[in-house]
Amino acid sequence: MKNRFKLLSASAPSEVHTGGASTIHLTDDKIERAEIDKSTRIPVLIYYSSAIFWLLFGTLMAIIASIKLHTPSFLGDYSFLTFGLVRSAHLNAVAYGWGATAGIGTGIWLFSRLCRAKLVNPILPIIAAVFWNIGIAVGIYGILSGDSRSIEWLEAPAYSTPLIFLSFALISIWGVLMLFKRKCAHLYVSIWYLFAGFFWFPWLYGTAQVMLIMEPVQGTVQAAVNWWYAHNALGLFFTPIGLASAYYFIPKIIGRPVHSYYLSIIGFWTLALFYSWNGMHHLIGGPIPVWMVTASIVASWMMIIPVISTAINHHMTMKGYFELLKSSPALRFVVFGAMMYTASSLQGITMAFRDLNKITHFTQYTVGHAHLGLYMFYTMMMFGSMYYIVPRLVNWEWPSSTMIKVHFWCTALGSGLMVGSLTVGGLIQGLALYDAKIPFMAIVSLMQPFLIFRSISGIMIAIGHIVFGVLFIMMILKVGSKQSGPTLLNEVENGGEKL
Amino acid sequence: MNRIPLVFIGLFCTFLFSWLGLVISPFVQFGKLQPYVNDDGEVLPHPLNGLAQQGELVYVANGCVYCHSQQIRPAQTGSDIERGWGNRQTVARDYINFKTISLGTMRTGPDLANTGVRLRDKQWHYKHLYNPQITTPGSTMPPFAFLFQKRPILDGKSSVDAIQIEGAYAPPAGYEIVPTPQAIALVEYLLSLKMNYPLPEAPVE
Amino acid sequence: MSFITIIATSLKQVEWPTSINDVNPFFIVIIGGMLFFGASALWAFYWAAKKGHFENFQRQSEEIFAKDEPIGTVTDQFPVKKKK
Repeated sequence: MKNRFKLLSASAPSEVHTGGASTIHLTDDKIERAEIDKSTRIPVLIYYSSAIFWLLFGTLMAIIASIKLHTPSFLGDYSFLTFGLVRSAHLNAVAYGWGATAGIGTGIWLFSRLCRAKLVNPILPIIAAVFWNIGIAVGIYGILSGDSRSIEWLEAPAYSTPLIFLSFALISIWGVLMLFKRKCAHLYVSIWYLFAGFFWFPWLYGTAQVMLIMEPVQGTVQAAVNWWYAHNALGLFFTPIGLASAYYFIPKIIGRPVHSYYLSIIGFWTLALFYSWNGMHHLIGGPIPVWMVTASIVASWMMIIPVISTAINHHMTMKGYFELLKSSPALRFVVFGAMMYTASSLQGITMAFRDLNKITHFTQYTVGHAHLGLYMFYTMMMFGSMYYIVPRLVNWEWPSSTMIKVHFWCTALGSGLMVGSLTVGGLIQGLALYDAKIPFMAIVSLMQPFLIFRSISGIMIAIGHIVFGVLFIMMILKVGSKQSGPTLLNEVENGGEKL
Repeated sequence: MNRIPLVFIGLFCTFLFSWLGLVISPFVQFGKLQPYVNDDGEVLPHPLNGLAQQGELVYVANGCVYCHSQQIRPAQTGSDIERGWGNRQTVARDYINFKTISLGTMRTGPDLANTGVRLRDKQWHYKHLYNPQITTPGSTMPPFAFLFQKRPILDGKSSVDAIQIEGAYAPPAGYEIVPTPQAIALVEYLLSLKMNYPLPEAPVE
Repeated sequence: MSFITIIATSLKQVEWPTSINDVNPFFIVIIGGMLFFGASALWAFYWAAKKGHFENFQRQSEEIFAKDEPIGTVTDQFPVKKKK
């Protein structure tokens, strides 16, 4: 470690080393923080365990779907594994199963830390987690057994969705209770993003369920509601949780405050104002009134403001500290995610441009973009958050540096290969589709190598996920010898009581 | 900022704005469209018959929308018309008879909005669904053999419903492939997909 | 000047509604909403500025630090095997 980066243990005041064991005298802050972390332990670990389960299940679904796209006879005899259903099971498992639970778990921990208050009413998030898991499981079973609604992001049949809504209502209520109990002087930027996400999601989900599943509206109004929901689930739920994590972990890990708090406020409010109008850019050229499409294209371009604000903020905060990427696993994942947020947002903005959209719409380019956002930004950000949070919950250090590095490189390179091959392949597909003289079957053959690359990348990503799953289990079981590190791994004593 | 009520009002208003604009406005503007009756007394779009409505349920249950779109874009936004997938762009009124709107976002397979115009042969559809390699070698569409029934030929006389498959995908000797009611309904649905008639808001060039 | 001429000519070519009954109701919602939200956003900024919310921002960015994890300390690193 370079001398200019002071590690935590070196800076703890009145530190006393006695012989072989090292005990640290605690300040009130350390005790307070340890107690807050301890109060979040059970709910957050329940969410994280669920998240990792659905991540592995969703990855399996992804690989099956990916292989079927280039080798359609693969597992072709099973009606419940037909591509349209396996793909939907994958999306629901990784978005609602992994993404939402990892996000809620991280959000709960961040809420408690930032409110500087112990987690209140843990029964609420625990019951919410149970309902959520049951709802997702029943939903995915329903999809695979022939009850899929075939509405993107809302495939789960009507008998499973009320549980999801109820679960999230409990989380939102819990969030409000925490805010009332808060003891912090100011509300840090991450809390605004989390509060926003926790408030917006039930409204989004409720609207979508009523207008698409329970009392479906007529005709292409369904498409408008569908894409208002799906795009906002990305931008007003996942993105805020991802950004909340970035805004907390980057400064917290490197020990330097956010570069410009003023920019973060601008970024937040412009995101709130513009993002929600983007949805119709999924329907450019489609059978809805043009004014809606144009409004969404304009809103998509206005997103340059929050995206650039956030990018500047993250970069200027990290400037001079990039060496720490070599030494901090959490930072590595978080900064990778933050950079990919900028990349996928800027790419998305260009995709809303009609002249590009007429080439890329309906192609694998869109799928590549979706994974650049939801995987390379959001999932990597969640990995980073979990690498920071889990040791503080279980009072144990990650048992193996090597496994962490395998996880990082498999997922980073795997997702890079996937997004790269789908982006290049998608552009080729789109340009060929745009040329009416090229017969459709020729385009199908053109895509084969890119889809095979994507399956290979899926295997790499799966290896990374399995390694992470093993690491997580090792943490829960406290496998390995006691190690030291700056994540308060030394025995924490407070008048004799071990926390 | 440490004023929760202010933040809350801000979140509420920005979201309300988009909810009104992109959810309620379309509902008001085109949520209760009526069919158009042309000079010949034809009701457009054509209503789906009962079997086609059943077929729509099969289409939805199998996730066909994840590879196939059902929308024709105007000429300046894509080459759909040039490709022969339709003779005009599709508009909101074309979809008022469907229970689930399957516009689609991927063209892993071709657009289907005018399948009932371009591909009217039921036998082609049955063979294509049973195993796409029969009609379209090299296709990446999955086989839907589970929508068909393989059964022994009785009395040496094959059923009129049996689909005629030669070559590599033919059933073993003494067996025939017959579409299940689901397959029959699905094909009826596909044949009902026609969006090529002129409408006041969508004339045919 | 020509820029203004272009705007003026375009505005003249629009078929302006002659009575309130000719206006599609949802336009009232949209345009009305835009005016309402735009005005309230401006008011909110004015109010916040007057109340002093925009002073001393950077202090708020230091909220996440504490006496024992102060600015300048790194709080995460790869696990290091304890040397026996």
